[in-house]
Amino acid sequence: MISLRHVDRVYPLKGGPYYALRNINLEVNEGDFLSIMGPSGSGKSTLLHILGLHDAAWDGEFHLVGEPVHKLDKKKRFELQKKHIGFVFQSYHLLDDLTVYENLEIPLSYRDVPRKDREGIVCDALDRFHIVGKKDLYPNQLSGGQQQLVGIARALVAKPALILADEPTGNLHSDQGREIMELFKKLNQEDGVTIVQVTHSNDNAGFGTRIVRLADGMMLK
Amino acid sequence: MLADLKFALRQLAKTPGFTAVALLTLALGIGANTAIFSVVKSVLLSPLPYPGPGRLVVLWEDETNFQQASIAWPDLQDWQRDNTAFTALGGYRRDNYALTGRGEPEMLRGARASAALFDAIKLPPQLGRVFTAAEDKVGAPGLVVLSHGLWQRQFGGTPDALGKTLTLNGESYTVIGVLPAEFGSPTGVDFWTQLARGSDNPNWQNRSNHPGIYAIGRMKPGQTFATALADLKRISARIAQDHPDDSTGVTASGQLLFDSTVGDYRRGLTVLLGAVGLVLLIACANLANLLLARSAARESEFAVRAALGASRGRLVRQLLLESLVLALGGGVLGVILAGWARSGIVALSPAGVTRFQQTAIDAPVLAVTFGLALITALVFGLWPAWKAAQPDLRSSLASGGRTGSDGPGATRAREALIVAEVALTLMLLVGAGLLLRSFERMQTANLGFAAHGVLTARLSLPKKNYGTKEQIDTFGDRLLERVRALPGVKSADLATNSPLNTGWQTSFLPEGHAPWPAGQNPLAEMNVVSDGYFRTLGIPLLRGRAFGPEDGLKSPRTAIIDQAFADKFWPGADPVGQKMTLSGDPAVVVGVVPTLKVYGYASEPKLVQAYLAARQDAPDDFALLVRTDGDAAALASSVRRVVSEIDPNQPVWNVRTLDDRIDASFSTPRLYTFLLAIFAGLALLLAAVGLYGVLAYQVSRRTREFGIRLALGSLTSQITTLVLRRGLRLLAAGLAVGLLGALALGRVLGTLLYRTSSFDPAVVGGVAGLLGVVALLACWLPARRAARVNPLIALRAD
Repeated sequence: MISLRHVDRVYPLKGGPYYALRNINLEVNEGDFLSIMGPSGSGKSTLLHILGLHDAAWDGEFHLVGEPVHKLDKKKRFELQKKHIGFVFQSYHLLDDLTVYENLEIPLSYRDVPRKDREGIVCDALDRFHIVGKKDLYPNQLSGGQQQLVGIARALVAKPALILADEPTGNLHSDQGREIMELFKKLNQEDGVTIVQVTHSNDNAGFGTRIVRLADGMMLK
Repeated sequence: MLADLKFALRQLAKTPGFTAVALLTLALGIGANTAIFSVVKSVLLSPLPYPGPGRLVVLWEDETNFQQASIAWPDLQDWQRDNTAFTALGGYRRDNYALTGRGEPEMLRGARASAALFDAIKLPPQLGRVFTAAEDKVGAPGLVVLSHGLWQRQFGGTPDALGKTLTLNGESYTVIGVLPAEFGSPTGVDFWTQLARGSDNPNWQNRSNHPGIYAIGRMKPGQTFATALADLKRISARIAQDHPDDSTGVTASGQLLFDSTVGDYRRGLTVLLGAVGLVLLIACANLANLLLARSAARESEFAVRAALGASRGRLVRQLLLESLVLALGGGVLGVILAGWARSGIVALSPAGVTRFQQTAIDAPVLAVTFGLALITALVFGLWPAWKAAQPDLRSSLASGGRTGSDGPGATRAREALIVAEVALTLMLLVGAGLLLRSFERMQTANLGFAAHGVLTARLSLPKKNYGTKEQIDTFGDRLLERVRALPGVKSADLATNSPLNTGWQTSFLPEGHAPWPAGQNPLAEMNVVSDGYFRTLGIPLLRGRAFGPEDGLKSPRTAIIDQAFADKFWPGADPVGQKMTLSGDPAVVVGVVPTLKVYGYASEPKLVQAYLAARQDAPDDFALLVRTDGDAAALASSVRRVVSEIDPNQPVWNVRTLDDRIDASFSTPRLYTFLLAIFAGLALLLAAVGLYGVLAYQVSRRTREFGIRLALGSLTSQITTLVLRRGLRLLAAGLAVGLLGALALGRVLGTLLYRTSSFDPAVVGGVAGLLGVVALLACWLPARRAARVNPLIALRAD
């Protein structure tokens, strides 16, 4: 699903170039649950943003679901991202002024899903994540765990093949964190969703199938 | 789209402070533009209400020493007969007529017109008919065509008016038609009657006599104003060749009727339209700034939306929708404000100019308003939307949108907007300041006479009842005797022209001076006055004496001249006792008075001035001037009563104090000054709010930085200086740019200014100082807030 070849991410600084990532070679197969680990500043978030097509200023080769990202223009990258990737954030990043229902609906509306179809898809998602009773609440009326549940539901609502999660339990206490990780595991095992997560936690990494470690922008063997 | 609209409304409702400020800013900007545009549309853009209005021209004659003179009657006949450029060309002359026999005598404003005038204007009568060329001749019975207003007033708007007779100046006229309300050429006329019917007046046959006749012509298709005028000038040249004594230097002139109707207001209203445009630009700059700040605060939201699949177009659309909702709301409020402003502007507008009174917030004005609202939404919304729609996903999503400061680009953009606002505001303030200075100078201009405490009234004695000098003198003597006996009256006198009234001009030749070359004879502004005229108007006698009983019919004809006359023709000599030919008859100078600004503050006297004694001339159309120590206006009813007691059929009109009449002559500059001052004030307020907003926003974004600085030992005064310095830098840049703009604006204002330089240093310095003080206050408030940051709280928030 993902293939990185000799990917560098360089920041030109006054004192000389700074390599945030250097010579990254990575394969992620469909159905993988990959955890990226490493100390602060090791480049794991940088890598995640490259995988998520948020960052375009890298060198090397990057294939996503068979498409050569390094050859695509901005518009095509955006289409690729819309079609295949869902995001889960550490800070949930729910839209404060929208209800739970509306937050789930937003990715569908951006994909021009007809209104009548959206309703069914959102209701299915609410049902699946057991948050039907919360659909009219605003994010600030939910606990952190509930917000992240909505965040995951929102990431999945457009049925992406790949979920990228940046410290998804970073703002949650341990019980809530465990529940979220079990949900990820279930999604990966039962639904076949490919997941790449960035985490500091060995426990969380344990829920995945593979671990990649970074230090000083390089992958450790 | 509906979801985006719902979200936009929810966003605006969530921030009522921002929404209120934005709506008010837009309402003021759009409202001011709507109000002024409604006036501009009515006055400058609406065509004249006649068929083919662009082909109508108003015509007169220019003389070598006098522009816009009326047309000699024989010249008009030659124009009518020989021109090839006009389908119709008719003359008219305004006259006052006493209407009697229908209750209270009333003075009506009539126009003696050629039948061809109606052919030229081509607006059919609403009722009955107009007179024909066959009916417009000496000896024909008197016919009148009523204006819509007089028809309503005198006949209640019934068709029975046709065939009725009106007694005008003691003569009977038959009503044959009624013209529609929109027929207004010449303006302010109550009725039209035949022009040629009175052409047996011997004076009219003299080509050197210009008896108040002007003309309106309709150009043939294919003619331009230039070619049509050239055609008439060709005829003028021939007339001058055939009658060199009378017509040398006399030539046809004129302008499009539309320009003649609105020309006086074009520059002023264009300046006002430009001013409100600047106000709207300032409002847009403010809103763009507010939206930029708001977008920065919502950076995280846009980043999430982008991460969830929102394209840039989609984000721009959503933000523009918010701007559009604001702009439409501002537009609705603006229309309400414009409705109020329209009433105020109409109340302040020059009296009798119907195009001002017809100002309305109608469908085209509303269309322009909402078009403006849409453009405004794009102007203030597009840039912030475009900026917001390209969030830096990495940093926004990583920080949760809580970045410590904006990028240098965003800061520069906000600061550029403020510099623009300050510059535009300075331009408007300088414009308003110049007009205020000019207006002050108008009001304090020395006109040469003491207007305060003087009541003026106009009387026109009909020839039928007052055909001899004795009859006129008897009426005048009785009038003055009784008015002078009224309680509170200090003096009362008569004059053919009271100040600010159009007078008459005549040629003269000082004794011993070589005859003037043909067409080069200078003219004198004339007035025939009773003995105490100069005393009543507080005009000092510089030399010689005033008129008195010694200036009787059997005495030599005497004249009093103004200082300019004396300086020009008897420099260094005593003008008293000098002789000249004045208006064809000999006269001896008995006195000298100062030069008066007889046409008011705005026009410098172009002609020398001369006075004749009423005792020797007996004018039948004159002004009564009454000086009192008390309230001059309160004398009006007493004066009317006195006239009525002497002759119950004699109307008296235009009974007003001289102060009132001078004040009315300020109405147009007052309107421009008042409005520009309001718009400049508005701009100042918006700029101050804008400057405050930007600095306050920067302070709020830099709270952490200030907390750190304070924690590291910075003095609060250093923090204050830090913020103030930033604000003052913007102010200085704005003032510098604004000064250049003010220079350009001063040039545009040029002709609207009275005795005021278009770059008056005191005005420019004063308003720059005012703007500086207001801006300093706007900077100081956020600077003070920055200095009061509590480091503990600021750093804990991090």
